[in-house]
Amino acid sequence: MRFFKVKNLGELKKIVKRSKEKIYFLAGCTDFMVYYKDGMIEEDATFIDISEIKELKGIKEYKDRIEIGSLTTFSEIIEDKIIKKYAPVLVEASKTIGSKQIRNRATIGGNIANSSPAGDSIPALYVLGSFLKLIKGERRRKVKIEEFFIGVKKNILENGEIIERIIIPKKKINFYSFKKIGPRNALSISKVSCAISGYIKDRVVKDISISFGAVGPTVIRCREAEEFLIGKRVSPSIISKAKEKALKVISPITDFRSSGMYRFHTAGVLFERILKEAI
Amino acid sequence: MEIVGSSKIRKDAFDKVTGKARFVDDYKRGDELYAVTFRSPRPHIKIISIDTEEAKKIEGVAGVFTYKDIPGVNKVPLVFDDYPFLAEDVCKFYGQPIALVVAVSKEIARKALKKIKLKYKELPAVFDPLEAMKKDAPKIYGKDNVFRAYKIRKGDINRGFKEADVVIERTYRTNYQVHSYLETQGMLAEPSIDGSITVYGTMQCPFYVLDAVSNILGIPQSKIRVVQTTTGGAFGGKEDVPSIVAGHAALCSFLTNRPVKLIYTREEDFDSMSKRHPGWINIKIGAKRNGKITAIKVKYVLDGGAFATLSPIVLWRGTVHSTGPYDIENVWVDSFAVATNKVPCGAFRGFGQPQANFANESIIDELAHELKMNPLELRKKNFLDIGKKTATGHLIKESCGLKKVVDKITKISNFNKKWKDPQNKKGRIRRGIGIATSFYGVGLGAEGKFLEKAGAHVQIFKDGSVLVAVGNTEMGQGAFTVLTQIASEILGAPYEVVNIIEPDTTRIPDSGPTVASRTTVMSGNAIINACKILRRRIDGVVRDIFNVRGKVISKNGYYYAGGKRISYFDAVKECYNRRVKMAEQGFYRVEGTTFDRKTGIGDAYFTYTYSCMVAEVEVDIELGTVKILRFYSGHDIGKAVNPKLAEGQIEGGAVQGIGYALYENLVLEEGRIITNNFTGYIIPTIKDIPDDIRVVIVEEKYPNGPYGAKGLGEPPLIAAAPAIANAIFNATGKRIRSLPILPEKIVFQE
Repeated sequence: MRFFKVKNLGELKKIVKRSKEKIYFLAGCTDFMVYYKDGMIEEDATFIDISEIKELKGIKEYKDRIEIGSLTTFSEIIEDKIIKKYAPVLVEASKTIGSKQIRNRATIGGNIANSSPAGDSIPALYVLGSFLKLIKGERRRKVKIEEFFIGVKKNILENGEIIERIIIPKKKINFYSFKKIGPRNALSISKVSCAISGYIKDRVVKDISISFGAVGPTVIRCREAEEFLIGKRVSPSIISKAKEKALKVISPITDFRSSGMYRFHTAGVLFERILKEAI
Repeated sequence: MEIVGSSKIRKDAFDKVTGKARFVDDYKRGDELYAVTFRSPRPHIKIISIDTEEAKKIEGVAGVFTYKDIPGVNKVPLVFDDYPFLAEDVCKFYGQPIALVVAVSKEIARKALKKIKLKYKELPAVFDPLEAMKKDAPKIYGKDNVFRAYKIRKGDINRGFKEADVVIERTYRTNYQVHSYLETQGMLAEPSIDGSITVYGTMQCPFYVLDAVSNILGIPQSKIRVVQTTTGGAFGGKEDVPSIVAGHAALCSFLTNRPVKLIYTREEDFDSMSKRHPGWINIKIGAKRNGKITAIKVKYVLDGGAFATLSPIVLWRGTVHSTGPYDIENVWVDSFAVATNKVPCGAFRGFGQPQANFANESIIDELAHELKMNPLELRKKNFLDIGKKTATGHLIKESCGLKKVVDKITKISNFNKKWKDPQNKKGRIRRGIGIATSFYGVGLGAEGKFLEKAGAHVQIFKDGSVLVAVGNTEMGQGAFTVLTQIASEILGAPYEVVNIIEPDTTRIPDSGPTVASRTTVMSGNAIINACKILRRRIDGVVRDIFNVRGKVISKNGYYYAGGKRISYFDAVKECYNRRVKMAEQGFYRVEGTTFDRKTGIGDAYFTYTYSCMVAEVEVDIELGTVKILRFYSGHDIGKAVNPKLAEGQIEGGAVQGIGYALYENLVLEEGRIITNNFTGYIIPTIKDIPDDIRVVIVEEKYPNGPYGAKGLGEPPLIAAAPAIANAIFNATGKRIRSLPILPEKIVFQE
């Protein structure tokens, strides 16, 4: 076991370059410590504490986008004025994560890198059309958030690569919602969640993004339902047709947290409720 | 009375709030070793061989021990002797201890654990108690997998049903419940200078642990010292199973001649320690049109798990209370504690009653629905009262505050006004109200009467400070505060100078287990018996000093007699000057409880605590989620020695009961618990419980209780689940007959 603590990206680069074995990056550690305790972490590995890298902190506003450093904690996100203004659905989702203590430590980068389909920030990031900037040594790449995840707790990160920042394009939004059903009201892992954001004028959908969490191997974006809704005047029958299209792409499973049947049913209820609230 | 009945600050409050309290894992010896447990990987196996050679070779390993290394008897001494400390040829549940690894660190011990090679053959397993009762089921215990069966036969059941205008029959199921104590099981054992051994740890019953350590080591009890460390919650989970943990730690210490610490992870605590039994309850009930119940027939099955542990007596308590706090002429009960290839179940707050009470109080509501009656009115027509008889034919002669509790709770909850037929409710958010009642036999009862005693040793020092030694323990329930209040009241000593010593089997009298909500009555009475003698001596000295006759009264730290006063401290000093004996023993024993196993008839317990709970809920019928808006819990406890602590018990019980009703879902696959920590096993948080829990205390004095007190520890949990289930029915018209009432069940039940 080799352990390093780095203060900036330059130091990080050097250590990553030297490490041949598997690298674990440590930030808030709210997922890591659970895995560690469960014996799911390889001991023959390099552990790099990145929690004090300045370049990965902070939220910046640009003309066409906002950028969130991957080390930003959920408590910081909830309080941030820029995010409140341009990504309110992310604030709403962040409020449902863990408990106050967890939100004080857990980072948005960690939530994405953990890549659980039940990660609650992810459906919000989907509907915001987010991009991720990844960095490994000198190399940087930018990917659409949907292209980042490839399965349950699996993503495209290479060994030694980290998420540098999250880029959220500014968009015209006049309604948004994140709803989640978990087993209880705090410290609760989603059985199913739904995020929607968009622009509706005179009940007519101008723009809309829809995503579901915890009902497939990754968070799922519902493109067909979105396309169906754009340009339509929202009514109960339209909502019901859109729901059918939205639920076509989810594949909830039965496990100890809930049943596939309940997840499917509840995904539909959440979808309908959000759209009904929008009009 | 100035001290009994007042809300004194808990004796342990400061230490616990400031972090000064030391739990067993906080103790350091410098040279201690760490033990970990090697466990069965499957639910039912025949062991072919255990190879520990590779594990022993790892540097830092002090020993790997199997049953062959046990110098004493390889049986955990509980009700039956069927549970070995370490498995010999067969393992009957996933997680059963097979071997112990001792090393200089936990990490090395765990590494060595992986090197143990176990060869085994899988045996057919059975996981459902109803399956296990079938003739061709794999056999785990005896010829029929039944640890114990009880019956009650009162009146003429056939006539009772014939007389009924309405008869209904329903089946209910309850899942496990996990104690979820904050502190997992743990022990520290160390050799003492004279070849004896000391065991420190988290426990409810030091004398059970003493039996166990003596058994496994084969050394006399007088050579063993068991000390209870500050115990971070128990709820019954530290009644019987600490005997296993202590036995293991003691064995490791004995064989290595070093202090050995054995602290369970949360996962192995879940996997191997006791739980509330899953229950299966079929009830048939008949009543007249006017609501008078004429007959009740119950079949009650408890899923005991692989070993008997306390199942027989859990079953007995459940059986005796299975028909509820009602006066019913014709009763027929058959009950069974059944072996399955799963973790052994044991004691948990309520002890076999919550399962039966969920069924019983649900069917009363279902009966009311059939009769088109208000469920409160139906209950009122049948309640126990003075002059009425319980299911076992026990004539209630005194201290029955059931009607008072029910009247107060239904009045403050405005039950009758809020209770409306569910059929008339519309919309996706629906509100409802539900009621449930219970009675609880205080103490161990007729089937446990050989343990129903308590002792106390009280010593007043020259400076007036007082030490009380009792055999019952503090586990967070407030026993030591309440017992101090009782000693302080009688002696006339200020509360602050009276203290109870840490339970240590070499310094305290065996008082039976700290269970069954018995400590206030049993140890309270033992303390009274000791203190009365001391007080008589002090009073004699006071009268002598003032040269007066008549009664000596104590108040605010003074003794008053004949218009004069002397401070408590001066009086004690004077007693010492006159060489008065200032230490005394007290003992208390209960006689008179009876139970005939052939008929199930008898005066099962010495007294009963009576309870009523009301829940108001809001159900989202599309999502199946339940929000408890308000919860009301009332109890006739004879006397609240410390009202604030009593309220705390009642609120805590409500929360644990809400968890049992709505959240706590232990999931097993092939006998293995897959929700074996708090990620998957959901207990309510502060955000899941109502802001508004209202407590009612009724004090119908029990003449033999200390200042009239009965027991309170367990009743606050018992009736919570049916009150909530009944409220959900009242809100939605959906009757959920299994616990926990998950949203999935509400949505998909028609």
